[in-house]
Amino acid sequence: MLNFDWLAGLSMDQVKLLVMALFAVVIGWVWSLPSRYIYRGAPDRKGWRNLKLWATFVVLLQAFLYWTFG
Amino acid sequence: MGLSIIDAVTVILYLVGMLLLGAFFRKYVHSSRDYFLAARALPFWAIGMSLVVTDIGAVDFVGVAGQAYRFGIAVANFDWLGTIPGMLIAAFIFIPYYWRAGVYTIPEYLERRYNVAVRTLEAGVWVLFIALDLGIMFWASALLLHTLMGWPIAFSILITAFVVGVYTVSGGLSAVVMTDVIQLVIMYVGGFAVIALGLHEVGGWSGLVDKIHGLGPQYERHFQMFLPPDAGTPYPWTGILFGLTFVLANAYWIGNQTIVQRALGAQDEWHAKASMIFGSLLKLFIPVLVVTPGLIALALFPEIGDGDQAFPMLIHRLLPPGLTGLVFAGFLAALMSSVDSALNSAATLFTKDIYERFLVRKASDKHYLRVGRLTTLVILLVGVISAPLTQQFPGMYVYVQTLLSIIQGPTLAILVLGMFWKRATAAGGTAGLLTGIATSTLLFAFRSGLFSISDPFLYISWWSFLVSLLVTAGVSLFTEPHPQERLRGLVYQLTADEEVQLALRRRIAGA
Repeated sequence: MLNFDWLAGLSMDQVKLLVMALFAVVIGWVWSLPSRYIYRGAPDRKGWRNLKLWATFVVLLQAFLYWTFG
Repeated sequence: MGLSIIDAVTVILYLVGMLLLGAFFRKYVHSSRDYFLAARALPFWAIGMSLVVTDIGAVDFVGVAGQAYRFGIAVANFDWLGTIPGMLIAAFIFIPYYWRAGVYTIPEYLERRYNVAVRTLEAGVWVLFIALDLGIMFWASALLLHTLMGWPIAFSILITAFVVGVYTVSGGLSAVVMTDVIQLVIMYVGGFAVIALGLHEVGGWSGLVDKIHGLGPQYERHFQMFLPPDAGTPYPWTGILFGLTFVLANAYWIGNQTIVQRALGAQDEWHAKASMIFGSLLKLFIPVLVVTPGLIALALFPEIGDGDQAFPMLIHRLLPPGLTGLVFAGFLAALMSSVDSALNSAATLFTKDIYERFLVRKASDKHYLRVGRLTTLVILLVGVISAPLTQQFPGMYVYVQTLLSIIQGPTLAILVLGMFWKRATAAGGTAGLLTGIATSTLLFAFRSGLFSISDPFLYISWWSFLVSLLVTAGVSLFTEPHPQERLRGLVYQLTADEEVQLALRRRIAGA
């Protein structure tokens, strides 16, 4: 159990899909945060200050890298 | 390999520039808040750049390239999957709460959330780790510079310590972060110069892939991010996902004082959050800098047995005069940015969590500023003096890294429960932390009989995290819950109403 033997049967393609699902969960979680909370402290609500967009961009870039090399 | 005149001038210009830039910030330091938290005036872009360059040391260039030479791009998981989700969780959950709580250190947050025992244990372990790690950092980097450039080891240590010491002692966190900004640019330029030359040499990316695959079937997985558990590497996907992504990455980005401290110096809550996300974008490029050279070296020099020779070999063979100085400055930048951050954080931990908490409680702010500066100097001297000892105790590096890995999982467990579960109590946190540390120590001691891979630090961090989580939750349920008033501003979603906001503002004003 300590060595995660129970997961040894998964293929690397399935692992890739698992990680893609993880990225989707992260993006979903970010977009579920209230906008009031995201902008707290900012002087205005201009589009470029929307940190949900920043986070989505970074996660999508990473998802692309893992899709290519996974 | 010596330096040509133009290379030497580049390096000297870099060192003098850092000295002047860092010393410039002395005039902005009038209080301990200015010194430890940069007067809470830092912009997101400077913090983000500082986060990334602090995380990467000169030795990483050689060590990670060596691992990539042996195991391929799976090593990049440490900077991608093992970083980005953790940085986003830090950005949106932990950093805003630390920032609003007005704390200087993570142990300070832990005392407010749990008790003084948890704070003291965490602060003590971190100060010890940073002080010991500093000596190792100095020695390993000096050895590297000696190998690459022929500089005497003592000279490398002393010149680095002098420059970093002057600007860190005088300018505090502002100087550390703003010099880090320049150091990141120099590190990127120097690193990408090596890669551009290397890729040109092997015929581009496709040439690199073809050459490595052509070396034989044992290299067919060199361009795969995920490796099966039976691949005979320390990086099976199970360890990467459970140990690295779920535990070590989060512990590092939300529980490491050296990392978190610069975000606490942000000018407002939005900048604090944005700094982590901007840092995560810059972090995406780090594997290009540290992993690709290992692959290029494998394609060009498959005969070298020791992977750690990959990067030095690349520099010896590829760099023309003129560029060597730039790459050398990049190495110094990577080293100095790690040393200055370690110094500033260790001084903050000692001054706030030990000196001010236990030794001299009600002194003037100027007094704590002087203590902070003096502590920075003392820790720097300890690092310089202990550096040569690393050679006499070859296992020291392993012991120091083990010390960190033993505490990471349990620390994350109490931070997560402390932030997300208002029912977590002081007794639960203390029991969870101690049991988690005991678990990771035992797993480490008996690792050869318990684990199927040779260096199971990823698995150990996961299991110690899990045990700590369960014990904290279990003991908490059997002890008296804390009143809601005590938890306001310290637990996620306990900040919504106006009354709570007022309490937080009072706390920040009084901090």
